[in-house]
Amino acid sequence: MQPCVVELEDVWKVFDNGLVAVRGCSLQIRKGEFLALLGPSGCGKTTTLRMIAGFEFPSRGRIRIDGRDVTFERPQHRNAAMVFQNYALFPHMTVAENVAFGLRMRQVPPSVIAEKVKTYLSLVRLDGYQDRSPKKLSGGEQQRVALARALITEPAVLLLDEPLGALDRKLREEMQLELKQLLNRLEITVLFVTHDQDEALVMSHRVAVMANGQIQQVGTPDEVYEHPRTPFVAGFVGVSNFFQGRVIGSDPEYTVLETTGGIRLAVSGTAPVGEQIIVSCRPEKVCLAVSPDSSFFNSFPGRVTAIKYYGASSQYFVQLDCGLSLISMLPTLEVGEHRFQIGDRVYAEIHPRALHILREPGA
Amino acid sequence: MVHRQTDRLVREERLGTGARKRRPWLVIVYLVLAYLFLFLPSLVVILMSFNASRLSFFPLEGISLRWYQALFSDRLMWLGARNSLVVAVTTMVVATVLGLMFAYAMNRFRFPGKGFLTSLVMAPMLTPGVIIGISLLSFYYSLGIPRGLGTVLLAHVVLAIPYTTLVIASRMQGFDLSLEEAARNLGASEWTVLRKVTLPLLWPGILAAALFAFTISVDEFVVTFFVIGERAVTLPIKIYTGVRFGISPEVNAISSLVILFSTIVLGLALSRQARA
Ligand SMILES: Nc1ncnc2c1ncn2[C@@H]1O[C@H](COP(=O)(O)OP(=O)(O)OP(=O)(O)O)[C@@H](O)[C@H]1O
Ligand SMILES: [Mg+2]
Repeated sequence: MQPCVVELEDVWKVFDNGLVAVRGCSLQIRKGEFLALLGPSGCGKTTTLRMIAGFEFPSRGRIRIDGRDVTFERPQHRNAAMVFQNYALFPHMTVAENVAFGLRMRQVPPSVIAEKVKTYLSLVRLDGYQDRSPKKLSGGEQQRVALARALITEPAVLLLDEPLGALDRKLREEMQLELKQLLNRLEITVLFVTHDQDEALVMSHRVAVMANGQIQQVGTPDEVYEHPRTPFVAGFVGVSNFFQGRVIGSDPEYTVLETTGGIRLAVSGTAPVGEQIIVSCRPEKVCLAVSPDSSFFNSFPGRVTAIKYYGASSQYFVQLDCGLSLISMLPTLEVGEHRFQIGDRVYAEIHPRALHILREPGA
Repeated sequence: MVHRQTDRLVREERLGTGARKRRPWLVIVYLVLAYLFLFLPSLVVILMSFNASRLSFFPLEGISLRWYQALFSDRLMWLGARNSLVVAVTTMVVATVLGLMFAYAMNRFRFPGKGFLTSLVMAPMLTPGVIIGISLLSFYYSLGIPRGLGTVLLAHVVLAIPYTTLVIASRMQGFDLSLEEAARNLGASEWTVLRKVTLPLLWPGILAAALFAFTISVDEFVVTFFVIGERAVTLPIKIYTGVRFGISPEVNAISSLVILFSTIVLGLALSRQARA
């Protein structure tokens, strides 16, 4: 196990106006790890990042970088380089001067600086841009200058606040890959803020999902997608079907609940009898069959009400006879096989292990 | 073909003869009148300064430099010019530094009574010069401060501060605070951030404020008249005493020189701005 580079311990932030932006956030980022902080707008991602960089002080809790307590340390004495959402390049300096800034502050000899600037500019594929003005660069180029400027100081952790947010979709997807490769090659520790779930899943080693100032779940991209732990995660990362109901039976492996619509669902996992719980299931785990299968416990009759065709797969909206509605995502079948039409009678089948019991964070 | 069409469009655009660009005659007539209204008086003054006659009437009785000669041998006029320059440069430095500090405090900090203090700083802009003059006069008098260039300097600083503050504050309005944060993040101390990031970016505003303060001081008359006392003299005061009993041609000469001077200063300022 790699040592922790950044450690947040029960960090809270209450602003002067009484707004609680971050509530009890605990997080550990290990050396060389690429961790994405994913959450909707206004959930406190930037505030968390700014506390790590030292632009805001926590109202409660501790922050450590490389084992050193930096909770109230000034920004210039932390070794955490930030790439700002708007890049924040100094408009009165050239590209080279921008990139050299961090080393100049560290009193590095000019000859060394010149060499390193060259190295880092070519690292971000901006050879020959030394004397350009950052004002006259494209968004993607500015972003790379900002990246070089942060990387050249060899920080303990690189903080990125929606670095790709200002780019158009195509450039954004290109940069995702390039950024990921570059940062992996440098083996640098990264905390990456984004509200784009695809970006978080594609780029990171681990994802921390945040909502309402709280960390909801931390895990690898597939853990977070396959085993969401809170209702928020199930709904925010990908699409989910939700069922709400009361537990009527439970054994060490399975739990049976009676949903609001009156159907009975078998779910893997345990919960005390009588409790109200919410479970979720991914659309691609909902199979549709033309006839009932008695060997399947969770099999419910219904009717197809709408279909969305995505090329490689299709989404089927199914209205169950009990009144609930479901989404099923199925790969487009090979020619000649049966495909469902709107109005078709179907049986929706869900394996108990595809259903996850969700709990509110902290519960 | 396309190439030739583009060429034509470019040419028309340069000459301003494109289809959309009918000459707006009314606008041109209006402009000529407006400029005449603005600059005819200055033009008359310049013409009269070369008039051989003592009387400022048309037609000129011949071209002569005698009023310039008289001007250059007038010791009091030189003294006034020198005093004006000294006071204006000092006012410029003091008022710009204070304005910068005010603007910074107002922009960056929240403190009780901020709104009140802000309006207090701006007050001299709205108060009639006569009132400021009288209040300063009785203020100096009650404290027993002897009137002279020192009191003039103080008065000019008071008058210039609202303008320098406003000009710099408006430049600070659009200031992107994340630039300062980026510098801190890269290891710069508060002081270094101020020197390497904040001040260089505010520089155009600081220059404009300085220019404002200088011009306000150089041609200030009303308040100066109250606080200058009997012993000292500035250029506007000297000119005023020169015209008290009818316009002396010497005054035309000094006015022409001042017009020339300010045109050069303005030209330099504008060409600098155009290059930046
Ligand atoms: N200086 C401040 N004073 C008061 N409230 C603030 C301040 N900064 C942020 N907030 C509030 O704190 C909450 C969290 O803001 P934050 O910028 O951390 O959100 P975010 O997750 O980064 O959102 P986005 O994705 O839109 O950037 C918001 O409701 C915001 O309005
Ligand atoms: Mg943000």
